[in-house]
Amino acid sequence: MTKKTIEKIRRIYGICLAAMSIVVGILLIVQAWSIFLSGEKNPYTVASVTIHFKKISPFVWGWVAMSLISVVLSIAFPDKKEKVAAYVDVKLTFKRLQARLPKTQDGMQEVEKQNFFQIVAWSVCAVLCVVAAVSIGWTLLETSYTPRFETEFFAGHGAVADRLVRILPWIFAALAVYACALYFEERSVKKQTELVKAKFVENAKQGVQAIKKEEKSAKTYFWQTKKFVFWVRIGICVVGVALFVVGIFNCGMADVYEKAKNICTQCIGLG
Amino acid sequence: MKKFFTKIKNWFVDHKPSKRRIIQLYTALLYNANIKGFFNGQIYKGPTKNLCVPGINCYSCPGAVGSCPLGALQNALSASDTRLPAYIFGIVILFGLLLGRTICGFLCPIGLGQDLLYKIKTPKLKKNKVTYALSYLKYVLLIALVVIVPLVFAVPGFCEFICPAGTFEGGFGLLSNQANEGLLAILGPLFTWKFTVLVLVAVGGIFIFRIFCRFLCPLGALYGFFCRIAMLGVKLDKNKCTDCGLCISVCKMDIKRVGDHECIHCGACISVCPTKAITWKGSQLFVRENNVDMPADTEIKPIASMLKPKTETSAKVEKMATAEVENENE
Repeated sequence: MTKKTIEKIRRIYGICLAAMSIVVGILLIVQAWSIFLSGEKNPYTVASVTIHFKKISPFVWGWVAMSLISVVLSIAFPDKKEKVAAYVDVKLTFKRLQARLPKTQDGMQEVEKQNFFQIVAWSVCAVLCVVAAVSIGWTLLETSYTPRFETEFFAGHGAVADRLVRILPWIFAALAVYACALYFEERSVKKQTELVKAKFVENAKQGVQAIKKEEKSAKTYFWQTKKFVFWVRIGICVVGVALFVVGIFNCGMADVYEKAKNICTQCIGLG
Repeated sequence: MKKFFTKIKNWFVDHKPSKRRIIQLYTALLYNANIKGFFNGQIYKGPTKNLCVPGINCYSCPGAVGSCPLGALQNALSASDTRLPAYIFGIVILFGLLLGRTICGFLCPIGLGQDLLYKIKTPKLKKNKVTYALSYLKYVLLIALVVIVPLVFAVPGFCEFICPAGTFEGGFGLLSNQANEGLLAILGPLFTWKFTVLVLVAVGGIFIFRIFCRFLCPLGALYGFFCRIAMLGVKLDKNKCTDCGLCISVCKMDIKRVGDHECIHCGACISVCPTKAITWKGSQLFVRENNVDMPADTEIKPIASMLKPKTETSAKVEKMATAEVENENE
């Protein structure tokens, strides 16, 4: 078997195993919700759980078998080590190049325009993030909630569920805009880098010299010195030990023990 | 047949567990050393539960011998109107100062579980700008579910709604025992939701490296604040660093530089650094310089003279070594 064939087999098998993993995950979730939505007063019983999960056991065992086969495949056809390509920080590269351009440089309007677009993108993102944060804070800090937070939420009605449904779009929008702003910034900076490189070529043809690269500054600020870090560590250590000792004497440790020695019903999903 | 056994042997040699993996395994066993609990379905009530373990390990797991710092923090904040949560603050500060996110890389059973899931041979989703953006979600969960919800509603928000460790270790650990059959009857929508979260994290962990640690874990977010001052972990010597970016390329976490708040100090970057600029922070504690003063009249013999040629190969080596020494002397 040629190396290409082996690679092909490995890739196809990996895709099949990935698909099987997703299928098993979906089946597990579907079975759990079908137990809960079966309409019984106490939906989770040994019998109902056994019936529901027996239905999907061939898929689960199939997934286990496929995972074991993938191990055998990796023994028979060892993986080749991937070459590591160096990570290029696009923004850092652009800043370094821009620093070498003469200060009184004409024809950089396009670079300034890209800067402006980046500022606009980040401003929109910042506004959305603030709106999402304010709506989360408003939802959580309003005092009209009942103590049974999770009952209200899962009941599908009530103040909490309504508010959460109203704020979730803002949260997803903020995350989506943040991701878009990151992608836009990367593309914009790449464009700026190309423009600056073209400028260097133009300058070279006209005989304009680039600014010399500055040597790394030997100056270190006081917060970068080892002494500062040492004294911060000492200070935080003292604070930590003091809090620990205060916590023992004000029965904080006893509270931890009291909680830990009993079953945490919230942790295991009983509410 | 011989070739097949050689392949198996080579596979075991290539895949023998690293020191970090062994530490993770021992830690997971140590955190859940109450084996009896898995058989009788009861949680441990001994005195070690006064102390918190550094990583996430649900204290409702029948095997757990220590408390979970995240759960303890939320409960302490829930009760903060009656008592200052000094004890748990002190513990988290001391863990963060001493170990930082080395805990995530070495001392967390959930991290171990995710590392093992990631080994399943499927196509993987590499880190990108979106995953970098999502890595800030854990700070949102820290503020919202670990701080605000316990303070305002007196419930452990993260434990109750998200934590997959509670569902897996506590929930399955207890419910799988016949002695706790009565607990099954109480299960409802919350367990179904948490089971969904657990399955999503587990399946996601097959494709995305450390999905829980990168996007959801508030404890990792908390320890990340100590990245600059933690006493153990990886560190970068800026004088030797040439900004080649190999460390960032090799790292599967969403780091911007070695040792930042996303770094779990696994040490994968140390072996790829061409200028050896990355080292372990605590190495000076364990590796001391050789400060032995040698007497002035000590004759320093070349190593080649100490070699006794036993074979033709070692004779050649001795010849080469002698030639090198002569070149240096010139």
